[in-house]
Amino acid sequence: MNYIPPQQPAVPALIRIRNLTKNFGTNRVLDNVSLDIAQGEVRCIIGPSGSGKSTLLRCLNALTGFDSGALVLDDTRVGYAERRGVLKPWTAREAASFRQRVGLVSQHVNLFSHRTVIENVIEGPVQVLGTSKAVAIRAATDLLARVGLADKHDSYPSQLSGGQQQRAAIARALAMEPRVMLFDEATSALDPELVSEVLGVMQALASDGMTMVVVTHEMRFAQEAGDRVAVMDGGRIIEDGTASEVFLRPREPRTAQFLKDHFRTAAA
Amino acid sequence: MENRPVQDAAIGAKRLVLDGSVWIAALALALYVAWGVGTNSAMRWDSIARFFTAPIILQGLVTTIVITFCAALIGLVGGLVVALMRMSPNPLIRTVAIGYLGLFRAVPLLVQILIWYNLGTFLPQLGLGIPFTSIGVYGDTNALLSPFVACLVALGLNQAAYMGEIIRGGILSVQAGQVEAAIALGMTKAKAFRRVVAPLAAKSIIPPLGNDMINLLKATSLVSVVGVGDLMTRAQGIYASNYQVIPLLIVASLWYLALTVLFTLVQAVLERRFSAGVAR
Repeated sequence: MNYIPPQQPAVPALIRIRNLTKNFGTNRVLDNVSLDIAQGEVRCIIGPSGSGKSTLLRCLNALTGFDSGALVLDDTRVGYAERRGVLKPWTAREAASFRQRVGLVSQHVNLFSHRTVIENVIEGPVQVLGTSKAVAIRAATDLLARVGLADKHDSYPSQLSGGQQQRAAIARALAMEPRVMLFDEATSALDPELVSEVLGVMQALASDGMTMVVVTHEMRFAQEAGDRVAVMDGGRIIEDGTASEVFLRPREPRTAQFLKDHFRTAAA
Repeated sequence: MENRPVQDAAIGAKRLVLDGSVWIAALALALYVAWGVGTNSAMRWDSIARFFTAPIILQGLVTTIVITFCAALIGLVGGLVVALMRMSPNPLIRTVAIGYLGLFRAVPLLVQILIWYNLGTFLPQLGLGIPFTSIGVYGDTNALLSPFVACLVALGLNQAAYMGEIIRGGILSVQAGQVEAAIALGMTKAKAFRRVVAPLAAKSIIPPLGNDMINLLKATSLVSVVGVGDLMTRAQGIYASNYQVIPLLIVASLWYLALTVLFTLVQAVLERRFSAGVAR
């Protein structure tokens, strides 16, 4: 693996991605991706399906590895550790301990179906961080109030609507007090009328200063809550700028085409 | 549309008459059979009552319960090992598990019991040691594999093969997303298995497990061929001398029935225990 030392910008970024490349067999899913994400920033990633957005998020959470390039969160080089001067892929334990610092909310809500909402939220702190149950329950109670589920502590996931489940999943991820929250099309699997309640929680989280990387098809959210928007296509970042730059004055014809296609299908 | 309730009522009445006649016919048949059995002089109801609680039958019952319990334990632990090996990413380990499943599910249980029982005629010495040297611990096969132990080994290893597939099915039934959610929270694979996979798999394992335990209970009657004093052996021993074959087989059947009912109740309790979160 070629490690290219990241350049130091004026304000050091929380996440630094440099020339990240990943292949599935002969298929290059990430092609030389470089991106800086500052502390407190909400970075939206849009683009057609199969463009590598989800794979990039999975790299950020060490759920999948990459072939070359570098990925740094705080001062931690993700995915590889130096042992006797050689970079070796992380052990399962190293990856697991890193994931404590990164929250992930995915498209398919995967609350633990055999546990109640509050049990879901305290599972991470109690089982992974070793927090005492009493402390974890107190924190979880606050979090559930924040996502509007104060009255659902003892409900099982099967008793909740899709939107409520997704909000509980956000609370579960937040309970780990992560440095960054990753959202992988968090509203794509929801019925249209349930989308706004989840986006509302995400928006509130953004205003509270949480660093967020949001892969989304919700252009309105990207426009309103996104500090910056990156557009991916074919494993590359083809455009990166503020929301108004990308949406109103796209430099890339492919971005313009994607936005046009997207809004036409959305209107239809 | 207007005459729909009238039609429904007519169909309802017809069904009531039909249901009624079926019940009456079934009742008549049951009475006829009961009368035939009850008045058969070979039935010897007094013998059934006497032998049902005879000490020798109760000793056999205890042996049957002990064999079932031990073989179930070997089967559960062995089955978990076989299931995990069968799902191992290592092709060698996987092949060993597939071979084990193939072998132990192919050979009839009765044959397996006879093989373990007669192992001494083929391998007089059993033990652990370094091949081609005399270093190691060896013992007389017949001393190590008493008929009782031979039966436990046969039933336990056979049970492990079936349990292995049941457990594997349960683990496969857990949605991949549930595991990924646990991993994304920072759990290690082992912890995700304990906290998420195992309890979710248990839910779908319990019904086939209950089936398998009942099968095992009844399969223990096969050990009568090698004369381990289980319930069936004792019943056979008694009717060999007093010729009351059917009454003693009924005594044994009643005890197997009682144990099966008990197992079914335990299964129901376990199912309720592990059904948390299932939409009803």
